[in-house]
Amino acid sequence: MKLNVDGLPVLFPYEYIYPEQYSYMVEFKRSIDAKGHCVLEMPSGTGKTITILSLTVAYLHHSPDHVSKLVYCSRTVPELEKVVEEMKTLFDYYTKNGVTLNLTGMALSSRKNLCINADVLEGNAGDGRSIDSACHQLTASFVRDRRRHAIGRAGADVESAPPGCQYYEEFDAHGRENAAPILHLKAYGRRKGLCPYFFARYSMSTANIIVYSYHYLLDPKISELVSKQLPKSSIVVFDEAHNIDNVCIESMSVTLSRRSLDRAQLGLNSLQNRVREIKQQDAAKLQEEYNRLVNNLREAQSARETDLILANPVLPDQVLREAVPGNIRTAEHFLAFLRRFLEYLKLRLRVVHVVSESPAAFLRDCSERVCLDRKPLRFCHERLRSLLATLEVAESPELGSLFRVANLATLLATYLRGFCFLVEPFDDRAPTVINPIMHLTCMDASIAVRPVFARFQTVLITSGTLSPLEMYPRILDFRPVNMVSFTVTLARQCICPMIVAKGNDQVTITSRYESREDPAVMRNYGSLLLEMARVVPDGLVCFFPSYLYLETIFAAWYEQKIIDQVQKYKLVFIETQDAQETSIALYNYQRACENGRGAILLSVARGKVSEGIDFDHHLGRCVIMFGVPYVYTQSRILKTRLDYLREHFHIRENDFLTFDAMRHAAQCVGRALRGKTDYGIMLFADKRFARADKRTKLPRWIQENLSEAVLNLSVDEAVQISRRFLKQMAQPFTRQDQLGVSLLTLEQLRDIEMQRRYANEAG
Amino acid sequence: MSGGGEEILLSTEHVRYKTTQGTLYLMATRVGWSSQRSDLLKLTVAYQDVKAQLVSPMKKEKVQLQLELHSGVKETFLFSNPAGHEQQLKDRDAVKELLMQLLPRFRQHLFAEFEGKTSLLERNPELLQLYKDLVPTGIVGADEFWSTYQHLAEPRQQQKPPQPAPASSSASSASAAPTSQQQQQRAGVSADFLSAIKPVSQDGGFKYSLTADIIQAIFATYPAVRRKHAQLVPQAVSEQEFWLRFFQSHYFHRDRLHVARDEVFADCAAEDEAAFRRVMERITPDVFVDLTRLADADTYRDEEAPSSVGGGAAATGASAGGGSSSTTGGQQLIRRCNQHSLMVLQSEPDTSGSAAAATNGTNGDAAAAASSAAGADRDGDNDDGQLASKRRKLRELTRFDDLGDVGADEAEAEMAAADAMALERIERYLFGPAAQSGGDEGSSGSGAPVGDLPSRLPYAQLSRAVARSLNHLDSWPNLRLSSACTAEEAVEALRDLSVGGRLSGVVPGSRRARQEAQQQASGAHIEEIRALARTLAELLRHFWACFPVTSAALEAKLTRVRAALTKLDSDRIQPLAQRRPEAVSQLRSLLSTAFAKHDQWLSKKQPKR
Repeated sequence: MKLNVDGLPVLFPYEYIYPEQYSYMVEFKRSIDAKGHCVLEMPSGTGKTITILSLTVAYLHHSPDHVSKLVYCSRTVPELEKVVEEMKTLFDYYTKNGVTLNLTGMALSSRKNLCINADVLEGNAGDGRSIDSACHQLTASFVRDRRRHAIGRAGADVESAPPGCQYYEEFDAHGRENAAPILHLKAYGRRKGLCPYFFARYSMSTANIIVYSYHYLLDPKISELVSKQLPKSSIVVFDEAHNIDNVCIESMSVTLSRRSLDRAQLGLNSLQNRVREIKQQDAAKLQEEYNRLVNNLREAQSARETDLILANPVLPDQVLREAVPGNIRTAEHFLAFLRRFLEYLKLRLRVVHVVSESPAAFLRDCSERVCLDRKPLRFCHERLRSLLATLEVAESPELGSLFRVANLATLLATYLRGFCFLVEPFDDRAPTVINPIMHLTCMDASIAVRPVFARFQTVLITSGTLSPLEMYPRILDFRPVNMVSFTVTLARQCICPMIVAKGNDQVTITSRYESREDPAVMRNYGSLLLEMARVVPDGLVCFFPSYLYLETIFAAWYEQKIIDQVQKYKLVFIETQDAQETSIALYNYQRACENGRGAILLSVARGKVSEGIDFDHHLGRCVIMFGVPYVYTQSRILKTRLDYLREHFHIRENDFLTFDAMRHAAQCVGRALRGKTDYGIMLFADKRFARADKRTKLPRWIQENLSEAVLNLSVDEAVQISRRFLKQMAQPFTRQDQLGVSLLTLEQLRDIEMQRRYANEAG
Repeated sequence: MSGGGEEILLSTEHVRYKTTQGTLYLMATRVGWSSQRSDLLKLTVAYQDVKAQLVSPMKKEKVQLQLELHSGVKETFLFSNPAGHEQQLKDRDAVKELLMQLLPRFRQHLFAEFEGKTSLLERNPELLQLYKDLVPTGIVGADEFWSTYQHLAEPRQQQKPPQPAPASSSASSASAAPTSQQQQQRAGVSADFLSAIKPVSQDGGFKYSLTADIIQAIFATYPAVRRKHAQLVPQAVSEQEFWLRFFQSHYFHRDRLHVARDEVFADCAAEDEAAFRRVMERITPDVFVDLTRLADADTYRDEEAPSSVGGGAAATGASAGGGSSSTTGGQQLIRRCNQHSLMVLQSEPDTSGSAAAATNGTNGDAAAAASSAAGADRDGDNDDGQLASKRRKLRELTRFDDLGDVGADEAEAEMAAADAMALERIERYLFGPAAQSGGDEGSSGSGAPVGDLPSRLPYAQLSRAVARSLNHLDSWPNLRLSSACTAEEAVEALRDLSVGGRLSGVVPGSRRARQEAQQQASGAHIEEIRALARTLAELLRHFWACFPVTSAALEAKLTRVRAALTKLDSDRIQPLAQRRPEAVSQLRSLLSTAFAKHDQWLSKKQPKR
């Protein structure tokens, strides 16, 4: 249908539209017009993606000088694939309506997902890191140079030359003139013999719509490589952004264990040997590098000034204005410097008690003990990269560890605020096992994301569960021009949230730390699961606050024979810490749901399942949240972060913890609903959910369906309500029921729009 | 002994039954035993009558096998091969093994048959009435009843409008529909079969009782146990000992951390573990649930990086997730539970799975098999194969059905093409069965709706039969067709004579009287009379079918039916006749004709003797 959103003609590829989709477009357009950032929450399953795409594509089409690019970031590969699919639908619709779009789309993914070279894939299946390094070894510029030389020398004897990647060569020779297809990049690459990965990376400069993962924009290590050429007039969309602060923090944090230090040592040794070798053969090359380093960074600075490069938080402006310090300019000196730093880190790892200090304290200690100054430390990362390029060494896992060490050095020396250096000799839960780990944790999510906000004119933060909205601008430190939470219009009440606060024996059920081991609580949780398993058809998903708790309660249920009884009704699958094993469990869970047997999935609120898998329709008719999914509060990293938040952002610890717990709970529960024809029960099984401070932090669309009557239910009452609900939902549901309420035709939309306009004029 | 031409699956000599030496035969449908001297089977037991088989313990001197029948009778066979104890054991085990395979088959068969009959009776009240009249009263044996009626009833059963589910699944094998479907709908293994074994504490110990179904479930779910069972029982350990060990093993105590070295099932555990690993190593067929591929990998992410902020759990996860050997009890339990569910799911025949895959667009096992077959070059051609289903799933995930349609008519068509039912005869799916009209009234008059016959084959047979009988008639020398009446006249006469016709009832021709009779024969009476008439008609059918009496069996049957008729007459017709003589007069006339015939036959027969 052809919409008119505030004067902008938008083609929407469906005949009908949800009212909230229309409102979303209106609000989003306002933000784009104002060239400001915005935070929009719209319930899951109401078609956010297509809404965003329809509007921005229309915008790109009609006013390309105002907005030149859309960068769409999402979290998981399946999510990204869905975005691409919807984009395809939209493009098709445009074609069908006789509008030619001069837009190209492009989806970038990692080599792991895009590589088509059988030699590379062989033996490295699914392992992103080794595929990357295998690719490097075939396509790095010096490798190709060497290969070209070898072929040139030996003439026809291609066999003896170092191996290369034919797909890359083909791309290099002919690939640049083609336009990339948005779909089936891999199939296209295979047909044309082009390397899809490099093709996609190349197309980024020309594509109007870029779809990729968060990391390409947020992780400084990658964004520098990939995203630096994006123009300022781009719209950046962070979809599924409820966890964006954690992604930011993760991308800026470094964790090192003894094993990775050892590996870094290995990498260092190999580099040293390499330097010695090269020195004998080709001393001029190193000298050349030295000269370049003396003045090379000037170029980078001029680039920065013309605003071509995305600001790299790892490499702040002042670094660019300085030259690499003299004491690490020669390769040997630099390696010796690194070795010393590595030894120092090893020393720091040899502790028996927990150490927590600020970067400033660390630097002081460092300079006192091993006489390493802050300034050269700051250049470690940059210097190492340059050295590798000179030495013509392809990246490998050992070097990866070395890079992390260099990263640590750079981050520590660059940021005196917002970071914390932490050494833990053992894990808190296993105090007898010595397993020292060193963290450099970023406590301030805004550090990584600040360049993004500063650089692009419009950044949209959106998700199905962003409540409370005020929190995000605070922790990400930006000023939105627009913040809206949309509710969902329903023709029938297809979500059934409930809070179960007590068992049938009136014992309060809660996962509070003090009472979670209480057998009565466990038993009541068990009977809740059992009763629901009896009532709910097909799939039932349960979430627990932590893996540890899941393990404990499962063992208890096994003892109490609850598992046996549950198995009478459904098969039981459980998330484990092993991703592969969980994938199998998940796959079989779906199979069991599909063949009618029905199944239960027990998983963890912060686990992979809760963040990446949808349980639509029969795959999740009911979600039970056992307990409030608070983060493990004893963790030192968390504590330091909480302190930091309190000091710098004036967010109280409790507020943040509750916010974090509730967003995860909402996230888990929201997994069950996809679309208005879907339906699901959402059970919050903890008394604490009923408290106002928790309840009000749920997304608006859940809160509105959570009436006073269902805030303090016993297991039996909940089962009664569920039974009734499921019977109601099983009745036929047609489009006619929805029309006008939760579904609008173009005419109805115009009516509503007219009404609103009149209302505005009157007001 | 009936059915001589049956295949002998196994014959074992030197088997003593009731102190007589003889040979034991296992045949396709029954067990037989004959003494050494005679060729006749002294004892036959149909497999479906066998409730259980029991074997003597390993250490016992005598090597015996006992069959316990449903009737409670126990037949014991003693294996007494002169070659010695070893050989006797071997003989016995061979028999046992075979029986073990055969018995469940028949049990299921029996059960299915029973189910079918019950539902048939429930659906057909008339048939139920007939059954009540004939079978419990001993007039007709149950088997005889079913042999007569099942084929009659089945077309009716089909007459119902075909429900979508069976129609789609059996479209390819339409003719075999009813039976094959029953077989397809085999009940799966219950997920809680292990907990169904309730230990009962008994003088200091526990007593577990296993049923054949549970054993079957265990075998279906854990092939390793089945193999072990085949290996060990009864050479190394006795049946009882085996299951005792089973109850002590990790299978039963899933939270047991260490499997004892010497335990029977230790290597089973390893085997299961290996199988589980194999499943894990195979790429998850559905990319949308593969957690390992969820994140878009990027260069050199920290291996030890916590997956979430403050995720102390993740840090332990990295260390604990390393090897399966270092897992704790709780993890082991969870793992075994996952494994159990997986095994249960796998024990099911994969028809449903592939069907689901076809309709739901997930790449089910077919794709999985394809991918494993394609092996190493999974990224090769097979990738393209997966692409289609992946795209379909993607489209399914991104489409909003209620938003009306995307401009994707072709997509729809593609989906439809993929999901279309392969119907052999479309008109049979779209329209209900219509009675076949046309020339051959004889066949359609028989009551069986010809149009409903599953395929054309029976109809062809029928028409051929009609043609053949016409031929017979033509070639019959004594037939004086000139004196016979025409077909129309015959039909007219039949109509007049049947109940409610012009000539039936009390006073022929008198319309008023007939109306009176109809009014009188109201309510329960009319029902009773109707039922009685049906029963009688059936019995008479049997009766007349006995003529000409050519064999002893027929003679016996005749006598039986005659007795039944007499009984019916005295028990039900006479009492009714006392109350309403006019209502049953026709029945009585039918009866008397039959009796007359029987008497005539008797008197003819008598002088012969």
